[in-house]
Amino acid sequence: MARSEQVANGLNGHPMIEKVLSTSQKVSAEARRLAQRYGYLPYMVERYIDMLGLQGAERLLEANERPLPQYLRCNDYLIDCELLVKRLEEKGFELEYTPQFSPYAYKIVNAPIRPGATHEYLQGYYYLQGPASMAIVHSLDPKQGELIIDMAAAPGGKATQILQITRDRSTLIAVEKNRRRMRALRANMQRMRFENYILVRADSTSLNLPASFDRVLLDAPSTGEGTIRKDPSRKTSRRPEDLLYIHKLQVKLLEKAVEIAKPGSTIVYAACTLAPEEGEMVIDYILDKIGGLEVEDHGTIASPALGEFFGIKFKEEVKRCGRFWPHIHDSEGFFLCRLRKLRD
Amino acid sequence: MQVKKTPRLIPAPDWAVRSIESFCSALGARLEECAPYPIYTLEVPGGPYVEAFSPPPTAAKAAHELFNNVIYSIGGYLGNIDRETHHFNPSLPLAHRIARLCGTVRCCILDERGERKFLYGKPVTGEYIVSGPCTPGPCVVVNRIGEALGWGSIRVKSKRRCTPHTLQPVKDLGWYLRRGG
Repeated sequence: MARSEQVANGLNGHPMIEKVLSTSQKVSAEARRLAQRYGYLPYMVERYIDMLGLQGAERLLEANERPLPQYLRCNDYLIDCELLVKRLEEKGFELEYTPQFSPYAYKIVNAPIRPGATHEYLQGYYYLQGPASMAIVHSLDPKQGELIIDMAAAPGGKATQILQITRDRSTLIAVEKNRRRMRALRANMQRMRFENYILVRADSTSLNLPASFDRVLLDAPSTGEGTIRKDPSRKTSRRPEDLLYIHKLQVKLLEKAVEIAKPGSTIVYAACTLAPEEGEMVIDYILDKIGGLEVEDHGTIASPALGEFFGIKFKEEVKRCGRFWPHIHDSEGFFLCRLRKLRD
Repeated sequence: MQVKKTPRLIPAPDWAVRSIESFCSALGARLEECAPYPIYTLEVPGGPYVEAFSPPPTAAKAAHELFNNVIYSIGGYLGNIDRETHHFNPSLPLAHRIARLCGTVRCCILDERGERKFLYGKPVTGEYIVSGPCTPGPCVVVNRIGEALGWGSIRVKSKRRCTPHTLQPVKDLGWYLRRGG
């Protein structure tokens, strides 16, 4: 038995997940044809057809063939965004303002040099970040004076955005388990010149903390199926058993997120994925298992989440969660859900 | 059995505060200008150096109440201090803070070509230095519009003439690309 399976067996998850995973492996001829044409594992395409229909699945596969443009998030804590745009345009950059994702988001249409190597980048005037990733922090809606935790923070895109929005006047706890990724997180916090943070190297599932946080962000580790436009190797690198393992880990992390959130506080769960096992099924399960939670409007341009998957109907409120689709939003694929903890 | 040594965040010991104060004084800055809030050190017991921070009070309070034994870093990074020699190596965030004081502290202003050389970690010779201290020692390095580029050390060829001198890089913003991850 693989290690991931052993770990997964020791964790809880949605009771229907194993049934869904076995059903999705019965692959139709259409799915096989598309999988071969676009270079995917057939079970993934079968799932896209179930989620989107044949035409929708083809549009998604086609969109995933187009590399994701780079986006930057202007750090208006340090520089006026119009001035930043002017400075980059003088260097030959072409930028397109994309406020549908964030008031600080710009698509890099043309870059004469690597956007991560400009003087402005080194000064901390911007961060290179996917557009859906930016939108997720607006769903969290952080406020000044709050105690906020980012449970999987590296490399720091969302963590620095939280401090940017609150003008460095919230206290952010940024947790990361991996030492190498922690270094990148620290460098980005310093480069963007924020100070009101604590970096904690720990496994978020084992945090021993009181229910003290005003907002909790969990951008959970995922299969990364939403990043195929950046990393096409994801078309074939994840097996159904990986989904099972990651689903159970995500459930465990979200349980911890709920545990450490104050009553009345906001929890945003996100995962850079298209797999319902990592999105709707995590939320459906947690709503069942933990009482006193409410799904709130996510407040972004994301499409409604799925109502069902391979014949399994999710709770009605799960549809209030959101999905960023590469073929609809021209972004990375992302699932997000904003929850309110009503009571302990 | 080997006990895992975890870093501890503690109020800075006197020798660490003195080391930072001495560096700031060599720049022409007061300690409160370098570290506006109380100074803490994060140290691994027995490690060769300690890291110094001046975090905002809310972060320091949360650190003590919630996380004292697992902290990796905290805001307001000042630099690290060699435990044996007490030599203070200033951080890039401190360079940004001190750059605001150019005019009253030791500050070296570079032109565009000098800036490029410096950010590649190369020494900068006098012709690219717009203005700078005439005496040897540490300085904060900025470009023509006052943006911090890092830390350097001034070398003077002649004690009688102020120029030309050389700026030796100590730490520059290019570190974020080369080492910062």
